[in-house]
Amino acid sequence: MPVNTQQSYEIPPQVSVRPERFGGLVYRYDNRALYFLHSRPLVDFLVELDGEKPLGAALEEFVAERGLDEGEYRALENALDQLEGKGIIREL
Amino acid sequence: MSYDLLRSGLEAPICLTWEMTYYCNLRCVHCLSASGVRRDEELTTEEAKRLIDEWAEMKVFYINVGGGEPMSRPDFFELMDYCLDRGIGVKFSTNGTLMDEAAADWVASRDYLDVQISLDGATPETNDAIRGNGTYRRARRAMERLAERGFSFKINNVVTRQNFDQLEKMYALANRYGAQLRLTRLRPSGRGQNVWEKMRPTREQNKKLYQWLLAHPDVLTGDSFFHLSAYGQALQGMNMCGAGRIVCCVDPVGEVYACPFVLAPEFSGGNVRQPGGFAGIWRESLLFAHLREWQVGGTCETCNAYDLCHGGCMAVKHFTGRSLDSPDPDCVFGNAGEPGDARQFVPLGRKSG
Ligand code: SF4
Ligand code: SF4
Repeated sequence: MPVNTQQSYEIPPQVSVRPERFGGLVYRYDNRALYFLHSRPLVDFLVELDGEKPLGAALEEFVAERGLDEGEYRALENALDQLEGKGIIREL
Repeated sequence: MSYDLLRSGLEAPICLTWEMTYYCNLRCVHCLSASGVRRDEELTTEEAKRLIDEWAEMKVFYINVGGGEPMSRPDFFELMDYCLDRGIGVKFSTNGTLMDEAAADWVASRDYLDVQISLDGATPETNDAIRGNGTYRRARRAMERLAERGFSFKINNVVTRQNFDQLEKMYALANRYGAQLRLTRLRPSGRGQNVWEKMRPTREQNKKLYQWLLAHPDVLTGDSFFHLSAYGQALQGMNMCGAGRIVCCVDPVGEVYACPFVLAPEFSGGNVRQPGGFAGIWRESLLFAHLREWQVGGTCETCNAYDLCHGGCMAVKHFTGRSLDSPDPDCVFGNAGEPGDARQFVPLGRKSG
């Protein structure tokens, strides 16, 4: 299921994200699962994700700030789809 | 998961063990930390809290707490709550003897707390020969108490030649409690050094263990048996030696070792009491930097199972007097060198202050 870019998203309290040189690590306390994320932009986006605006707007702003291209935007969006499936982000 | 990714080092360990005290009321014959007597210089409550603060700041997700017997520390509950309050998950290992009703109530009331009770055999005869008289009964008692509260714990079983035939029974016991079985490799660390030769599983048993683990994916191993992945199929886990890369161990007096199975001066990156503290050691110790670069050479380099086994466990090689570049003594292809051929690991010294 693709993320709904009209909606705001957040990182649930039982999830922790830690930036690393290769990208970052995500840990879910509730099921003790550890995930390796291999994209630093994705990790930076997650760390900044505060649920204040719809996901699409937050993404566009992030991409503009970083000067990322359309392909990188799509890659982020796809990665967020997967993270939602794993319970790492959730709709507010 | 590749070494390359870890060369530059992680911001914090993924698997951090904290041995809280060397005191133990038991004297298991295979104890990896040769525990028994408390040492005078063990970290005080205040020092321990500062260490936990550092971990929280580094975003350590969870810690494995052990000892000695961690529950014997008078500030055990206080320190565990201190971790949990700062968002650090805790899994502690205990022999279960101090799990009274009040302790069980405390355990059952905490989120993100895991408990691992050690049991090294499915019968008192087998277990008590390793852990001491009456320990089977006392560990079972602790399990009953947690199970009564609907708490799902883990049973940790060090696999030996003597208890190997009881695997199925151990598995059934765990299931009966709604608990999870965790199997650990016996390593010649601490007192384990004295018994390793006569207690290590036979080659035949190791092969069966590999098959058994594949057939029981719900059994945890803490990545103990990755050297057996060389039989063909990767077992669950990262399948590599994480020492100094993703793993490290803080001992009761604050020494930071590359892994809990190498509590020896040549594997210490420093002490948390020195300037820079734990984070300084994790990030700047020359020893850890070396371990992140290092890959097993020798015979293993040309082995076609290298990607699965990476030459096995550093601790087992070191404490059997082998070169760290030799194959694991339990190499599935029987490539292990003889002990004593060691070009011993050259300690790199600590980064001083
Ligand atoms: S030769 Fe080395 S890499 Fe190959 S299976 Fe034996 S220990 Fe593992
Ligand atoms: S030395 Fe052995 S026990 Fe320690 S991290 Fe490496 S493989 Fe694991």
